[in-house]
Amino acid sequence: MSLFGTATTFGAGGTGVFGATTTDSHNPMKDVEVTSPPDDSISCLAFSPPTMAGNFLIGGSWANDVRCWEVQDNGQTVPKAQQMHTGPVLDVCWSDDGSKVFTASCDKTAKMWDLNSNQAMQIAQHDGPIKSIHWIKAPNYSCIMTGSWDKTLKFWDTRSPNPMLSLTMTERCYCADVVYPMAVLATAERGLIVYQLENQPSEFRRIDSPLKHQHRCVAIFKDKQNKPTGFALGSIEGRVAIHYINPPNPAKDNFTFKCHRSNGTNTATPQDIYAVNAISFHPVHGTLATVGSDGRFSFWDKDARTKLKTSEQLDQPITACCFNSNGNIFAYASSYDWSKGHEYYNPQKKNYIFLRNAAEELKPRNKKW
Amino acid sequence: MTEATRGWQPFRDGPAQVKIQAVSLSEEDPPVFQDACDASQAAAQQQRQLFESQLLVSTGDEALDVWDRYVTWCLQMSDGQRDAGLQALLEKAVMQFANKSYFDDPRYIGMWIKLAQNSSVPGDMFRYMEAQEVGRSHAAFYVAWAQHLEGQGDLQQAARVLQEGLSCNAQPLGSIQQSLRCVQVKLSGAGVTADVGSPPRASQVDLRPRGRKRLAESAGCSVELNLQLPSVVPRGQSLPLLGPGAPAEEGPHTARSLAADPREELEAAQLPSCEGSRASEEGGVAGKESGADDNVRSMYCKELLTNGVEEFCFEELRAQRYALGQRQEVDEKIRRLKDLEEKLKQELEEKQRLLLLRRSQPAPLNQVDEGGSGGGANAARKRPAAEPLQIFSNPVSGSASTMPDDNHTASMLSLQGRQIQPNVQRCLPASGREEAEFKDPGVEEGRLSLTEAAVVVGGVQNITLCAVPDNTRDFAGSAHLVSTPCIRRGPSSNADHQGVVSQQQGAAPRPNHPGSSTGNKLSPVLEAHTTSSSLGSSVATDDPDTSKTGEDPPLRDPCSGETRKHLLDQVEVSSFPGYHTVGTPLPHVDQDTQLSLGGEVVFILSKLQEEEQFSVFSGLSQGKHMVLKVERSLLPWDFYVVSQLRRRLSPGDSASLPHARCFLFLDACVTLYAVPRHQRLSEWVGLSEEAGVASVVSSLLLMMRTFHSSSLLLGALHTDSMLLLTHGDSGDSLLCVDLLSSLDLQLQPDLTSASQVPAALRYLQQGVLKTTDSPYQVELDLVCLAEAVHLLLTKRKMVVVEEEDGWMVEELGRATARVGRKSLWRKLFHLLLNSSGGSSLSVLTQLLDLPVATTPGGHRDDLVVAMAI
Repeated sequence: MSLFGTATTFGAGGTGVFGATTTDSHNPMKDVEVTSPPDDSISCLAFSPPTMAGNFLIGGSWANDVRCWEVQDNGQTVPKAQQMHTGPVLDVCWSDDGSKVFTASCDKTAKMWDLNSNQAMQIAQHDGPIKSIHWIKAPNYSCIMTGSWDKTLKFWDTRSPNPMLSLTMTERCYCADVVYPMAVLATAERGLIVYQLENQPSEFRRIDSPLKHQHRCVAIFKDKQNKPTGFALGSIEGRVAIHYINPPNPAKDNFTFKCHRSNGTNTATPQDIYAVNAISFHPVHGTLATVGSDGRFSFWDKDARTKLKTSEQLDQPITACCFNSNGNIFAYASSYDWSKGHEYYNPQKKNYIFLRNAAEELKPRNKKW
Repeated sequence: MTEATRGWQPFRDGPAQVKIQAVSLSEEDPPVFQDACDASQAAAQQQRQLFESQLLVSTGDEALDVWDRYVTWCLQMSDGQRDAGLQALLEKAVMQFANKSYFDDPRYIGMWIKLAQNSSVPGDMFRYMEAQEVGRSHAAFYVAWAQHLEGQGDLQQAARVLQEGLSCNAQPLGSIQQSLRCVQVKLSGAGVTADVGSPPRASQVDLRPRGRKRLAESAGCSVELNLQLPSVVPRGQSLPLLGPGAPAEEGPHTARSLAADPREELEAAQLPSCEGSRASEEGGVAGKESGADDNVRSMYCKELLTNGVEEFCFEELRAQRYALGQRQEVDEKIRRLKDLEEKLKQELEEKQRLLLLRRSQPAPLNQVDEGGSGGGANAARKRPAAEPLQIFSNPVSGSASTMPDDNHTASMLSLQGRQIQPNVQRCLPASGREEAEFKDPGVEEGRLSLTEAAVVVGGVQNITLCAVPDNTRDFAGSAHLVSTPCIRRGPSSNADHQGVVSQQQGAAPRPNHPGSSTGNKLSPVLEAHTTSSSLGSSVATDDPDTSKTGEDPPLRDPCSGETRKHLLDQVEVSSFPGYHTVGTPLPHVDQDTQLSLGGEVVFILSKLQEEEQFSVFSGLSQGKHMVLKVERSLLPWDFYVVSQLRRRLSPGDSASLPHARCFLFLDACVTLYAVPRHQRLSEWVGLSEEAGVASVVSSLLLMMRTFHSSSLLLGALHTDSMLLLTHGDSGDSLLCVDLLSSLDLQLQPDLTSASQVPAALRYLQQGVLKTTDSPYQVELDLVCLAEAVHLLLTKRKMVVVEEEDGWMVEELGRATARVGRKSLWRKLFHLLLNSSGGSSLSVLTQLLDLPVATTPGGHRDDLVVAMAI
């Protein structure tokens, strides 16, 4: 028995039985770890709006909670508060003044969390889990838009138990984005609907999907005048479509690109395709970040049609990402995204939120392609 | 329609009355569907989604069941119309279960029949079914086929099909015969004579699947046959429908397409009928996506996402699973409460009976009877205080009570001394027989106790009903539970029990539940006993003072026989299920002897262990392995501890515990365990590799955690008395056959002061244990565990040294490098030796759970493999 004999080497990268930390790939990019991350997969992240001093990060998780951290300038994160739903939280958003946070959950409700009083109250109810939630600030109204798997899109003024407006869709809402006066909604069965929000929300156009596979994430981008002009749509099979609403030359301006795939130059072996889990546009540069089931994030310049950077591979999928209001911080969450079903779910695996300096890496290429 | 096919034909029958009540799915009716959809459509949609989401989380037989209901529902919805979506659904269903094991399942056959009936070429489909031997022994198949043929006007062929069914002995034969008669009647009516007399085999030529040419001619539309089976065969799966004996070459179109190169078929992709829109969109869109995705592999659960007709996203899958988990949690909780209720009811009945018995008992009869061995044993245990042996001259004692004097040891005498007296009365048998008849003096008492019992019953029933712990658990709690399942399990199940017990304390006495005796106050039943005995039976040798003392003076050794005796009487171990008294002395037990225990004959195979106080044997009874512990003391302490363990664990957790019974002979106590295959731990460790030691360590940790979570302590850990039980798939566990040092924290809540436990002395002197830790006996367990682990690893006695950060075993002292596996062992010993002030459960859980946490998907064995240097 060699237990108490001569010292044996403990293989690098081995697993520590009693919690000894060993080298692993949970943070290959050496980014800042947010303290007290949620206990289950992180479904959504959102940074506070520019109207607020300082940076506050909200994260919703499958542990039914929504947490708020303050991100200090030195990169330190301070957990501030937490609210609970009775089901997993699927989406969060901020009000434009930063005083409130809205949360959407599998428990079929949406809540408004007043950060000043730390009180949360239900403001919306659906017949199915609510997959997306967005704050709409129009000149003549402000409201909350919720998209649900019950195939409705509802608008709430947060004071009435009944929606201001309820629009029926042909399919379940899978993802949505809002940049006033435009909202875009991607649904199951590759549905794609654009809404205009001026005066009152109404359907603007249904678009044939530019993608072949299930829609998974969508983000609106703006033009030079800061007006929404199109959207990036990510699919479950490693591809993102850049789609303009009214392009001068649709055939040329709209395009798709591959992402979140294994190195596919070798034609002998099949290329592994992963889901694109989230897309986020840089608020200053207009470049975009995508994160995928492959555990990588990538930065892209859609105008130059080039990739700016791809991260190392994390040991878990990246499930959510966002930029802070001035674009200096890129937050991304590493946790299981259920892409391989429940057999691959390990509840013991820790979840992380990382913060990365995004000031430089997302600057667009100088030259146009 | 015959019995066999009834219910499979709603398609033909038109829509059944079953109109979907999916409207009730939404409790409230929010003003949603004002737009295009009308309510029924929405309801149907909802129902459809319900089915599809059920499909997501069910597998195997359960999934088949869901499919069956789904398909039936769709048929009802389709209103008898042929429906491409339905067809696609059916194709998907039959493909999913294209496995020989289902070919005889009526549900599967039903789906095939529906598929055939709904298809444009039913004849081909039926022939294909026959070729694949789907439903060959089921009348429904032949009847449906014959009906189709009949519909085509081909009565002769229909008759032949039915004949074929008869010759295959398809069940139920009656339905085939009935159909056949109908067909024959029609045939004769049509002036055609059926070929009934000819041997059925002769007609088979026509039934056999035909070649391509014949098919094309006969069907004329075989090109339409849209069952593109291979296109939905999941990746990596062979084509299951093409059984080894299936006639591939001569098979119909479908069979041939199955036989074709699967890759080619896979590339043909998408079922045309599956999602009408999808296919067309596919074409329209293709141009937009730059670059074709050739030679790619989807790294996600594609099959799951499109299990039914609708597609799902990951989150929907997960939400479904989440909802399922929640439902199961609630179900589980209900089940556990029911179990508990049942348990309490049984206990209550038992107590009532005992109470009655006691009341009705004639005064001098205070001895223990043994089940079924006759009244002769009556006086067996009765012993006057001063002269235990006087029993033999007791006139009441029957012929059976012969007690060999020489078996009496000094300890026995002391046990049978004064201490036993007041409690003898409570040692009534679990099921009294002869004594149960009320003798005259006891009648009044009996009545009285009945009314009391009624009060007790009422009390408990009420309490059982209200004692439902909070049903809602917040997610933080359940998230915590998921990450550290074991921490929760112990305390919570404990809490459940205690919740009930403490509420019960006032009204419903459960003297045999230690939880109720934590206070110094006597429980009402005990008081009742005392009162009743002093009132009713003046002759009884009961000494109320002793009973009322309840607790022992704290300085007594909690493991002493005297204490044990008192405690066991206090909890009425004699009323525990599995407790038997035998009114005879124990016959000689040794290898190759037989021992009759409770009507069961145990063959003793070998002696496993021999100690001063007890011996352990391995035996066989009715083909089952048994372990017997024979003790010369008359204290069924081991039995008590194991029973309490079972009682305090949740039913699910206690299921894996070996079942223990106890037979109290006149001169010995036999504890009988029904166990799976077993081996002495010491032998096993000697044989096994280091990795084996590590796995034993993990079993030890588990065992100790089970004990601690039930408020039981092992006291000392003798690896010699451990048996390794092999449960088959569920892994190994340990059985400790020496529980003499074991302590019950619920029964003995006063374990605080020094030097109570002899085993602790050494550690107390060394300073590893401090008496200020209360109760230090918990820490003692952990230290003993460390000692045992040390012994297993090194075969040497453990020597501890004190370091700046606490106690450590000598071999792993300061000088040792603090890297590598040794650091893991250091951590283990550090935690075990320095647990003071912390919770033992958390220490044990930490030791057990950390490895799992750090090795994703790893089995617990991995941990220990790593530990084993």
